[in-house]
Amino acid sequence: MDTDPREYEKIVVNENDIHKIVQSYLIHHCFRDTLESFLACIGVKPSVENSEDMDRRKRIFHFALDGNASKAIELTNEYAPGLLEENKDLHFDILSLQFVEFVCTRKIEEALAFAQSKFTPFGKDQKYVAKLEDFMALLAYEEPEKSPMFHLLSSDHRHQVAENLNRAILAHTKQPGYSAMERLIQQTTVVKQCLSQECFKDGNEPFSLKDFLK
Amino acid sequence: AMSQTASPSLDAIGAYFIDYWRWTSKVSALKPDEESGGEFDHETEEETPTELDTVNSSGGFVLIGPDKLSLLYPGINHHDHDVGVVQANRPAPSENLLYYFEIYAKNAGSKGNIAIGFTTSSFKLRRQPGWEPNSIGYHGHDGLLYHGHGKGEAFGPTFTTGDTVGCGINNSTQEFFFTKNGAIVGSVYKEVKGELFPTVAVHSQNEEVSVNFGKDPFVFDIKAYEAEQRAKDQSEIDNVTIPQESSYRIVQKYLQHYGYEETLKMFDISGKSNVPPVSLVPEDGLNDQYGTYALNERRTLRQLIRSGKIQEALFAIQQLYHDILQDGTSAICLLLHCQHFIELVREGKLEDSISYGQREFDKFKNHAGCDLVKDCATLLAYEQPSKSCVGYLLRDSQRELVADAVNATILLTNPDVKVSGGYGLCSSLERLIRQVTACSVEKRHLNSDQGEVFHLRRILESGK
Repeated sequence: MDTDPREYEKIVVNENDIHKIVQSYLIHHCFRDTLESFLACIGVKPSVENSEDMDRRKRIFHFALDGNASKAIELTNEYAPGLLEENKDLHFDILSLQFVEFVCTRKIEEALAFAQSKFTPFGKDQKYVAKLEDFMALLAYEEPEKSPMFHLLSSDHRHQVAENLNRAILAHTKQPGYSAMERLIQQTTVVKQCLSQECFKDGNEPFSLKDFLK
Repeated sequence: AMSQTASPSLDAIGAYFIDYWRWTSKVSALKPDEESGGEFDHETEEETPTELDTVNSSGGFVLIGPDKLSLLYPGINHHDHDVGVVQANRPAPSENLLYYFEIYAKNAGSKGNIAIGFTTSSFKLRRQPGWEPNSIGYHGHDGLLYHGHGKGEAFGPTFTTGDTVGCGINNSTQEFFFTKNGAIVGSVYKEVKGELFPTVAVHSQNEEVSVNFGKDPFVFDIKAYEAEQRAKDQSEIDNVTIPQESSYRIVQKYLQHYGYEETLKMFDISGKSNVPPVSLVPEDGLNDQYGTYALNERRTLRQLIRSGKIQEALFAIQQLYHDILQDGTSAICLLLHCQHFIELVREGKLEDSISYGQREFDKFKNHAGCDLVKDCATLLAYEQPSKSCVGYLLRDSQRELVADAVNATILLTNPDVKVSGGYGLCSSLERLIRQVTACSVEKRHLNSDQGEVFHLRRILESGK
């Protein structure tokens, strides 16, 4: 169901709100230079804390993405002490990125050593045992990319973990874990789907962000 | 009377922005001291039920206590039309996620016919809630739920002396829910629409009930229930995954639309190394082309208008895009001339503004936008125009509106683009905000305007 566009053109959109949404997106994704440029254009002073925060998160993010777990963890502990202790799932996920990096570069010995020193402590907790088994199983394949657990090697998975780490750091430093832009899109999607269900009970197309952006 | 112009679609954009001014000026005029957009008022507390209604009572069958929070059935019940039923003094508030109240059965009397539920304002106050259409009632003597007629459905346990029973509305799931002694009994879809009054009934000798509308703590943990509902709603939102490029594109289009050239350059460069890295598949080269059309010119014009240099802006437009000015009678011209008038008033050059107005406004006397001229002229009537009802014209928001109009009109001069729909009027970001706002209103409307109202501010201010 598409709301008549003429009706919603009358809705007042406040420029300040728009600016906040754009800023929130840029901060979340560590676009430091872009943010500074944007703030200069709209006549707002950038904050030093924001800039430093973005730089640090960006570095941490890229280390995680590259599979350099030790560096990512080191910097995270420095910037957000206690975060990883509180977030065991996340801690495990980051370590697994490093493990996967070893596997992909065929450094089997390093992978084993790493697993034994870092992963085993998690094995004490029942809920990690299954995950551990999945990862260890990768070692059994000559071509892990073709194994049933290939998704653990995918860039999507790495992005997801790195993004989760970014969110956790944001939350730890008392910033929103989701940018206002994301929230806006999510909320729009949910509301539109709800309306589709209500108005066309025999199933309507889900809200397509892609179509909307054309 | 529309101006006679060669190109109706260019003028249509200007006309749209004059309409937009008209819609928003009513809002702005009401708040002379605020910057626009301050509609979200944290402080408006809706009135809620606080006590029993003693005015509309089922005459004579029930006695209401002096505290207006208790009721007693003194007589003997004889038939089905002498129920001692009482409503609250107000209906459940319409903007809450949940509403809840409780009763305590002090005495179940001879038959234990206590009932709790909701009814509408037209309810016959001699019948048990639930026995009539547009009402719902949970009855103590049989534990059945009645929702609209005399036959009840199995619902929950019976209740009697010493029990605390609660009844609530959940606007998220559109359900009624009931509790007994702190535990949920069950919930049922809310078919009854409109304003709902908390309702209590007694219907046998010596039945006595007290009511709690929130003055005292509830036996049922309503706060936890609400938190649970909020968490469910939030997780539905959290579970929506967004492709990485979408947000990137929206920001990119926003920057393009408003001509933030420098920022756009940074953004394009950073895209590759940001968090997460964006690899934009160019969907269609055309897409980018018309976003960046006349970027430099649009940005320059925006800056001029935003700093009040209207004459310079007009001159530049004359040089670069004289089509949009046409013969000087287009809606865009009207907006620009009015803005210059406003700027002169702002600088206190009242005589200059008058002679400017006399020169330029005559040709718009039959224009659809002549009410804008009138509002501008009204500024002259006040010693302190910024504090008057037309003071909003002196704010940045008016400059912004004119800048947006010029921006949108220039975008339309792009020869490569076939105009469709609302292209160029605003960026995807504004359209998205409008979508979610309008759809949220629509969704609430389907629940007869009950439930929390969507406010963009909530998204902006939420810590999560």
